[in-house]
Order: sequence, then structure tokens, then C-alpha cells
Amino acid sequence: MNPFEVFLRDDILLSTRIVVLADVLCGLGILAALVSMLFHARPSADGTRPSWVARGPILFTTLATCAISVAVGFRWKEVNHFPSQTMSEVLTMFTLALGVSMIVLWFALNLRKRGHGWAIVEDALILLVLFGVVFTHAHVRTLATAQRDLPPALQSWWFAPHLSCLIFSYATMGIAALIALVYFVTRFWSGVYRGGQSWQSQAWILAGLVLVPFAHLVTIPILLASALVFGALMALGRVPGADTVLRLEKELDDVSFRAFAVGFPFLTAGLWQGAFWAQEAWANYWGWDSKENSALITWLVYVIYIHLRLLGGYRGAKAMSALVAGALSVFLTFQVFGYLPDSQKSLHRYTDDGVEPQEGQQGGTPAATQQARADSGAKDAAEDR
Amino acid sequence: MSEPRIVDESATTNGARPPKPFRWGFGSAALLVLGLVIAGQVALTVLGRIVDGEATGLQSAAFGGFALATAVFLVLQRAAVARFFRTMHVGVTLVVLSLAAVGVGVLVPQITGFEDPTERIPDIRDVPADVVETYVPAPRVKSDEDFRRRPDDHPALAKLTNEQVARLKKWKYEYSLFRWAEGFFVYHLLHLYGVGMPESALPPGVAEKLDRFQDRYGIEERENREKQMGAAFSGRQKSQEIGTLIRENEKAFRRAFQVCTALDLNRTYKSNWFATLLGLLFVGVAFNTFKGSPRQWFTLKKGGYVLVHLGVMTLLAGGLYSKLKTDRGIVHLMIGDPPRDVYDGYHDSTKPRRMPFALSLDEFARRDWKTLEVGFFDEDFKSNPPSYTLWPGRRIELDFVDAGAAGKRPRIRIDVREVHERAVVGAPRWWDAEKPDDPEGLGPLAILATLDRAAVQAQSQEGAQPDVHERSVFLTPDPRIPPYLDPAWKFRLAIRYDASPEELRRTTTPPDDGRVGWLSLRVAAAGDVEPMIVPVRVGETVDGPAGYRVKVVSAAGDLRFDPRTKTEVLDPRPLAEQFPSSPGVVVEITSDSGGMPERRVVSETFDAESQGLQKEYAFPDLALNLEWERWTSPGPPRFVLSYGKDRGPELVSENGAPVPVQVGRELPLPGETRVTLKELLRNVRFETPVEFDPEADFISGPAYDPHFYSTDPTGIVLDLTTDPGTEKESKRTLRMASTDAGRSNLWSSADRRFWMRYFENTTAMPFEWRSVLSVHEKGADGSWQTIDVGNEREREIRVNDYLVHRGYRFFQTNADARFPTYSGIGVVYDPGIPFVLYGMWLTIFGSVVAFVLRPIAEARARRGKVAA
Repeated sequence: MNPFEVFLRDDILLSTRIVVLADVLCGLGILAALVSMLFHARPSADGTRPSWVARGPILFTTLATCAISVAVGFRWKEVNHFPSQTMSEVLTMFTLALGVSMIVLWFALNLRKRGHGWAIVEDALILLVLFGVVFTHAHVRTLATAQRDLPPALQSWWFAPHLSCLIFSYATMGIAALIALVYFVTRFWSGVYRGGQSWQSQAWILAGLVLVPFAHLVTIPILLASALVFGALMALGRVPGADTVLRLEKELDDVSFRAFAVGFPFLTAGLWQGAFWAQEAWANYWGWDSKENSALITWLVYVIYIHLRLLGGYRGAKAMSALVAGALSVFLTFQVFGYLPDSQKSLHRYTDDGVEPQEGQQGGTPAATQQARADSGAKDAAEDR
Repeated sequence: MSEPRIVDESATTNGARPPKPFRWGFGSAALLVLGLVIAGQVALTVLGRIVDGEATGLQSAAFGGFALATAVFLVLQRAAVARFFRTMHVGVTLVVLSLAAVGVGVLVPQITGFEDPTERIPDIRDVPADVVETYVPAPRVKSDEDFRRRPDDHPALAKLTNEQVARLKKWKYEYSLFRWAEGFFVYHLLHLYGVGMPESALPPGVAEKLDRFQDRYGIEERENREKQMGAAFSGRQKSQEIGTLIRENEKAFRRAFQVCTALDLNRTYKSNWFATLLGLLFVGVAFNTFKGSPRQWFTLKKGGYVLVHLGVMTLLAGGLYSKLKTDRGIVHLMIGDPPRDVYDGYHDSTKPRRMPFALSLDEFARRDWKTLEVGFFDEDFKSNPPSYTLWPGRRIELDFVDAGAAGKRPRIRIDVREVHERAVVGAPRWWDAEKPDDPEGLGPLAILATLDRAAVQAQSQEGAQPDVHERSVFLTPDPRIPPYLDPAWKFRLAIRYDASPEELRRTTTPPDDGRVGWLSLRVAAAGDVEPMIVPVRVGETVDGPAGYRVKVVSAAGDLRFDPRTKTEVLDPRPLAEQFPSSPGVVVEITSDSGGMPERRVVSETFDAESQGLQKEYAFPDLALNLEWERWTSPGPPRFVLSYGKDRGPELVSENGAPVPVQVGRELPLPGETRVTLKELLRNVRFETPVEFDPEADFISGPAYDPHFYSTDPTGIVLDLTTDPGTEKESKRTLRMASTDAGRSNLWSSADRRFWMRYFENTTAMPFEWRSVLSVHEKGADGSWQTIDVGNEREREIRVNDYLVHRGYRFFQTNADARFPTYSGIGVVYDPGIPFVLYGMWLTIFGSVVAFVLRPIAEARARRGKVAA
């Protein structure tokens, strides 16, 4: 069923239909970003004073974000609890967080004020984020959207802040990694078209962009699309040289760090809020559950990034590589986690994503054993032993 | 102009330059830290043995020497140690190695109960290799999960001692879990993006059914079912492929398991090497936090940094305190039992622990989600219809029709107006409709009064009124309504309305005589959409889904369980003589994919799946349910009370002529039970008044509410609108209660289009469990004295809300549907908790200061300067 048909049908939940509206707004935002990029590419363009053409992308981003938040609001009403229980709900929350992060970073980073050409980087960032939202929604449409009751453990005050903080930080960290990607792609194609980069560094970048599983679903399209852009710039004779790329490296490193700095306190708060919650539910602030551990690993990757950058003085490509590694860790924690060996007994598995937790377990599982032990305890108590 | 050169006097006087301090890089730091971690593993293991009194003299002496040498080294080389820990490379290396260590625990499944520091994979080196090689690869069976010796154990275990059996069984259990988890991971790694994974083609005919399902419940419900089915159908095939991968690489998995066990990788977080690493991390953080002038610590520039590092130190220190002092377990309580001060350490009844006080259970309840099910009379989807959780304000729309350009239009709209925690169901009222075709009428109904003579006689001897045993029985010709079964099991009685002689003959002598019931077979991994439902007789074998074969070995009308042996007790009488009060069958299940056959008892009254016991079966993915056929199964003679629009009542027996009967008279039936025909209605109208307790509001949140513990049914008020938005729109308000008393849980539309059932959903996770506890301390006379720890509100525990007393935390952790007064209470004694929590708060606060407040303040200061 095509998305427009979805929008018109009465037998589909309103939240699902409003997400389609958000996708349309994202599509318009993508067009606006492309127009704005062409507009800013004129030699006479002054990116520091945004015109209405330049404001188009963020305007549509804001409208799309509002639409997603209305969808989330309706979903809340439709399921009668904070809508972050199933994978489809969590991913919709994530796209909302992407929109909110982009708007926050648009103001916080103020890229267009940095000078000529920066407005294009800003448009490109919005373009990528909106594509991210649309593709995530397309994936959500393959997942089940049934209402699920909250199990007792999820009925906690901590549910909403824990999830919101983590998801907002994931979105911001994702955008920080996108900024780093813009740098690596620029460096690669500038090296290809204008030279000035060693073949080893080019090989590393290419391998990183093409070979990392799952990440290359994002990086290869970006690499190919930017090949076209650089081809056009080549034809116009405006491909940036190695010295421009070097200047850009410092600036993008700074920008990506600022984006990271917005997300990091939320990541920290989200992580430890999970511990406060577990403490209330099981008097066990850290159960070494593999989701908790994956989240801790993500946090530690960013801790390493901070130390390398602030104490070790690492800047540019090296620091941005750590940032990309952090985003990969976020992705692993968020989406791949259910396939990791120790995740099978995790309390954090989403059970409607086609990955069955105890799928084919040959005989009991640890949970079943615990249940069996508790059952025998119940029997003992019943028989007053 | 050249800068003045600083001359190092000491260097020049000796004539040699001082040695350049060693520069730590990532590689050298990692090597040294790993060396320290290995030393820590050895030293802490020896220390543990010394503390437990198990160390030899040599080990104690070696440890003493090591500790002394370490202390001397630290004192003499304190400057070098400080420089080491203050190097950025060392700090980053410590974080990287900690990250890797945490990652190990994600990639290596942790053993069951690893939270207990004493839990280990047993050593099986003394078990003869031939036994290991025979037993370990053998398919897992039920008896493997009970670590004691059992009569149905694998024959290879016969020559081992009981203690060896226990160790080998536990080893195999843990190894199987490890092998499966790693196999699952490797399989997905080899099939990135699902490439090469089995396709999830739905069985033929399902799509057409789903289309009809979509018309009834909407496209969203349909798509959800379809996605569920797709995932489930491919799930089983995927599991088989993972099984093959494991079998083909058995040796590699076994070797990996042995390596992980030897290095404590499958109990990473409780291992000594992990503790050493975190200890080093603590020292590293401490060295770096407290360097420089303390005055800087209170500046905005450094404040955030200091707070974060203080937080990390506090939480690591708290964690260590927890590690040394924590104990956890479960205390099993039942309402009415005396106070209990003993709990099972780490959920293990062989590890009893005593608290310095006792607990008792005042109240316990489980409240389930209030649920509505809607079905359509002209549809038979086999699977359960979708169920809808109810809350005030919820709207459910169903039965969609095309509405042209406007897309789809629902023909049924249900709005939940009120939800009540306590409902009172009054006595039902019935009457014959004025018109025989009144659509509000439910059709024919016979009302009988029965009297159990044997009970009356017994009662008369005690001087009671005999008529207290008279019971009303309602019978309708609807084949879904069960017939009347004589409690003395001398006859069975059904009614028929306007039935032909042929139909009457088929009813009294059914062609499928001897069928004991219907078995529903469903492979859990294949979704709950299409269970296979087959008629069963004793001795027959059914070819089930996914290569399972189920043979019905025996059947019983009154199946009982012996709680001690946990086996079924079969009635020795012939099946026909057993009243079906709790019917069940014993089946033998075999699978095409091999394994020992499983013997399973399937009871009509006990659903293993909803009780969470399905996982304990040898074939846990095959769910079986039984519906006993009370009319065709072997039993006493069948009688039919037949009447019609223009026909008087008569009683038809299996092989006799119809006997005319009269309203108000006794029916000529065999046995002691007296059955009087009270009323015969041709089109009955029926009403059950449902009232609500105004005090008991809808419980939607966590606040204490005494009505939570009520055993009354719950109730709802619904606004039902049919054909909304059209000229035919009609609206009515319905009151329902979650009990079958007076059919107050059921409603069907007058046009027999659809029905609704309201119930509390016990098959899923509940809304909540709550317990109210009392605390008791030993009095002077040694008896337990209840002490005041607050009112019920304060003594109530829920998941997410625990009770603390003298450092012990109690939280809701377990329940068992078979024992409604039982509550399993988690017990935790952990004095490290507050430190860790403060540490975490400090870390959050510090990161906000460093990454939010500081940049804002600095930006403001910059703007101020520019303006100036």
C-alpha cells in the first residue's frame, strides 16, 4: 500500500497516518534543501544572512517535527501510555528526536554564520537528517504497530525520561557523526578530483565508508551522491583543494564536538536513569544486562573521545573517527543488540521485531529455570516446608 | 636574543644527564595494565582462599610476600606510579580495556545465576570421557534440567556418582545455552541483512483469510498479524539452520566454552580480573582528579570535570562495597502463614539465609488488564480474535465497508465510557418475547430444576432443608452451549427445537461417537494465527504441524496431579464411568527432527502456555490445548428434550420411542437425580443487572488502593454505535462484568452479526502484582512481635516500589497462578546502593556543568567582551 493510500484510510490508526504527512513534509524539506544548496552555491551568495530560500529547509524540518510530535501524541492516546514500548514506537520517537536535535543544533551551531559555503554544509546536514527520518519511517512500516500493554516493570516514572534522554542523545550523536561523515566524504572526493591526499589515507576512508556493515547503508549512498556533487563542482572548476579541506577539517571537528557536547549530558543522564529505575524495580542498580552493558560501552567510547580530544589534543580526522565509532556503538546498542549472544536473556529485548528471544532454545532458558526455581519455592510454601 | 638556558646543577656536577623518564604509549600502557590484571586475578584468588581458610601455608606466605613487595614498590616508586596514572595514554588505555572487558560479557553469555559470586561452571575433568562424549551430544530432554539423578536419565549417566551426575548435568545445561547463544550470533553474522535466511512464505489460503480478517478488524490489525506470521514462520526454519550450524561446529563451540570457562569470561563481572581492572580505573581517575590546585576545582572551567570524576570514583567505590557486602534472594510467602525470616539466597533453595527479622504477607493480588474481544458469527478465523485493552475513553472501530472516496467506514464503533474495579451482578431476569421473531430475543430456552437425591438424603439426616439442593439449569439448542451432565453420571441431556426426526436420531446417536474431544496444535514459533484443530480418540495418532506427531495414549475424565511426585493420577475405572470434571489426555509426542519422545499431560482446565510452563516441555514450541467433547465422549446414555413452534415437548432417548413430557413435571430420566421441566421458552429475552461499587474507581496508576485486593469481578460501561455517520446509526449503552454469572461478560447483537466478551486477560503479563507486608522482630519471649513500619500504603510493595527495613530491600518479584495466595518477594541487602546512586547523580550533574553551563557562560563572556 502506498503512503498516500495509508493517509486516506479510516481503518488505520491516526498516528500512523500522521507519520505519512510528516514524510511528505520531509520530502518538501529535502527539495527545499536542494534548492537552498544551489542558491548558496552562487559565488555572490551570502550565507550569513539567511533569506526565505535559505530558511526553507529548517522550516520544513520544523513542520515535519511538529507532525511527528502530533503522531507521537496520538499514539500516546491510542495505547494509553508513553509510546516507547515496541520497536515501531521507539523508532518513531527516534525520528522525532532527530527533528528536535536538528532544530536545536541549527540554532546552537549557527553554521551559516561561519562564512561563505557553510550554509551549504548546513543544508546538506538537514538533507541527510530528513532522509534519515524518511528511511526510518519506511522501516517502521515493516514492523508491527499493535498496541501492547505495559508490563509491571515498565510502569515507572522513569520510563519517559530514561527513554527520551537516551533517544535524544542518540539522535544528536548521530548528527555529530553525520558532520564527521561530511568531512570524510569531502576529503575523499577532493583527493580524487584535486589530489593532495596520500593513497593510504584515501584507502582508509574508502574502506571505512564502504566496508562497515549496516553503517554502509548510510555511507555508500552519501558517498555516491557526493560523487555527483563533486563531479558538478569539477565541471565548474570549484572543487576545494587540499588546503581548503585542511581548514575545513579544523572547523568541522569543532562543529562536531559542539554537536556531541549537546548530546553527551543526555546520554549520561539516560544511562544512569536506567540504573535509578532498575534500583527501584529490583533493588539492583546494575544487573549487567547486556543492553545496559552495550549502553555503557557507548558511553565509554564517548569518554575515550573526550579524553583523546581534550587531553591528548587529538583533532580532525582522528577525533572525528572516534565520533563515528561512537555512533556505530549507538547503532549496535539500539538496533543490532538483539542478536548479540548475551542478549537472549536480556530484559530489554523488543519482542515484536521478528527476533524471538527464546527462539528454538532447546529446552529451558535461564528465565525458565528461575521461574522453575520460584515455582518450586511456591510449592514449598504451599506445602509449608 | 637567545633565551637564558636553565642549567641543571645535579646533571653537570656528576657529569651525566639524568635518565629521560619513560614515555608511556598506548601499547606499553596496555601491556602493563594487562600484566597488573593477571597479577590481580592470581592475588585476589589466593586472598579468597586465605579468607575461606582453604589456602596452603605456601600460598599464604607467597601472598604475604607479594603484598609486602607491592607496598614497598609503591612507596619507593610513588612518583613513577603517579606519573604513570597521570599520563593521558594510560587513562585512555584503562577506559579502553574496561570497555573491552564489559564487551566480553556481551559477547560471551554469562552463566545462569552469575550474580552469585560463588556460582561456577562445574569441573568435569574426573568424569570418564566416554560418558561425557555420549551424554553431552545427546539431544536435551526434560530430565537434563533437574540436576539430581532421575530414573529417566540418559543411560550413560548410570555409572556416575550422584555428585558427578549433578555436575555433568549442570555443565551440559550451561554449555547448551552457551552454544545456542553463540550459534545464534554467528548465524546472524553469516547472514547479514538476512541474506540467505529462509523465506517466510505464508501457507496457501492464508492470504484470503487475512483479507476477510482485514474487512472485520481493519487493515492495521491485518498487517500486524501478517508481519507476526511472517516472522514466526521463518523463525522455526531459522532455528533449524542454527541447530545445524551448531552440530557441524560442535568441536569449535566446545573448545570456546572451555576457554571462556577457564578465563572466567562467562562470569566476567564477578571475576577477580574484572575487579582488578576497575580498581586500576579508580586509581587512575583519582590521580587525575586531585591534581593541580584545589582552588581550581571550584571554578566553572574545572568544576564539571571534577564533579564527573568524583562521581565515577564514588560509584566505583560504592560498587566495590556492594560486591563485598551484597546478598540477594527470594522469600516465599503465603497469606496466613506465620512470619518467615529465611530466604533462598540467589533464588536457590539450597542456599538458605536468615534475616534479623521476619516478614509475613497480609495481602497479595494480581490485577489483569481489562480486555474486550469482538467476534463475528459468520466468520471462523480459528485463531483468537484481536483483543482490546480497555480504559476510559478508548474507541474501537470494526467491521469496515467501502465508503467511496472517503476510504473505509466502520460499521461498529465501541466507546469505553466507564471502567469499574468492582461490579455486582444481580439475579438474571428472563421472559418469552412477545413476537417469536423479535430480533432482541436469544432463541429457544428450556429451564430445568435438578435435585440431587443422594445429597438431599445426606442433608435431611443433618436436619437441613432439602430444597437447598435444587438448582436451575438453562439449556439452549445452540451446539456451543454444553449439555446438562448428571452429576451422578447416569445420563446426559440436550435440547433441540423444531428438529427433524433425522436430526434427533443423529443427536442421540452421534456418528462420531467415542470422540473424546478436540486437540488444538500450534507451533509457538509459527504464530498463533492458525492452530491446527483435530478431533481425537484414544489410541489415534495425529500428524501435527512442523513435523510433530502426537499420539493420544490415554484419556481421563477426572485428571488429578499428585503434588509430591508431580505426576498425574489416573482413575482406574473405564473412561465412560468417569465424570468429566477435569478431563485430560496423556499424549506422546515425537518429532521428525529427532530427540526422545515427550510424554505430556494435556488438561482442559490447565493451560501450560498462560501459566508460563510451556518452556519446561521437551518440545516447548509445540503448544497443545484440549477441548473435551462432553456429548460424544464415552459416557452414560444421551437424552434429547425436543419441542417446537407448534410441537409439545417430548424426551427422546438413544434407542426408545419419544416420550411426551409436561412443563412442571419430572422428566423420566435414569438414576437418582430428579430433573423437573420448569419452563419452555420459544424466543427468550434475557437481562442481567450489573451494578458498580461507586467507591472503587478505575485503578490506572501506582497509588495504594484497597480495591486492588478485591476478588469481585470488574465492570465496564460501553457506548456501542452501529453504522455510525449513516442514516441507520443507532446507539446503545451496555454494562458488562468480568464474570460468566448471568452471562454478564457476554453480549451479542440482535441481528446475530457479532458478539463481545469482556474479561480480565490472564494469559498475558498482568497490569500489576502488589503485596502488603508486615515486619516482625523477635520479642523477649522469643516469639515474633509485629512492629509498626507504617500503614498499608507504606507497607505495600509493587514492581518499581520496594520496602526497606534495616538495610534490606523487598520488592515484588514472583507469583504463581496455581497458588493465588502466594507471593515471591525479592530480598536485597546492599549497603553500597546509596554511594553508587550519589556517584551517578554527580556524573550527570558534572556533565551538565561541563557541557552545557560552561559553554553558555563562556559564550556570554565572549559576547560581553566583544560588546565592550
